[in-house]
Amino acid sequence: MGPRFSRTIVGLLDENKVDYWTFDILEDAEVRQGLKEYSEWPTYPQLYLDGELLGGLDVIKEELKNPSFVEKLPKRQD
Amino acid sequence: MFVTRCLRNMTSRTEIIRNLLTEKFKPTLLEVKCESDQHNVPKGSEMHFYVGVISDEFNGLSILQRHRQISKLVYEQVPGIHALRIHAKSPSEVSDLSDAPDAPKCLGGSRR
Repeated sequence: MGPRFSRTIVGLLDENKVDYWTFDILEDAEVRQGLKEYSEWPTYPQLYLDGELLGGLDVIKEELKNPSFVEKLPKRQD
Repeated sequence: MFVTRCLRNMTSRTEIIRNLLTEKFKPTLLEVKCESDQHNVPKGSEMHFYVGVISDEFNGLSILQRHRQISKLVYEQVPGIHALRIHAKSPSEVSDLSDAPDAPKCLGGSRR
């Protein structure tokens, strides 16, 4: 899918001052395949909170319109 | 690709996806568009799609659950799809698909 969707989701998280870390799934084929099976979600990027899939880019874009969703995301402290 | 198209009787992927979604979700409104012409892939590739679905089947389901149902169906039944943009609503939420987001701009490059 390329880095474009990942850049977009990172941009959205930054806009909302979310505290997150990233893992490049291109670096590890086991993780790349394992996460798809674990979450029954076939594509990347994937955003997780407390071990649970929140969604891919489309889902996150939609969810970020909802203030109670934004509220539950951990925020940067700066 | 030639053999696949013959087996499918020259039905396009757009039509296949449309039929799958219609059968499963009985939507009140459905849009299926191939967006591969916006990407750096050979002409005629049917690899990137946008689907907009309004259906009562989505009542009470979270956004994630809706997207998971749609993507599971499409990725399992239509091999070779590279990307799927999804917009899934129930009739109680919207009357049409005009609030669906546009495709993000392709910045070129098809490195996987």
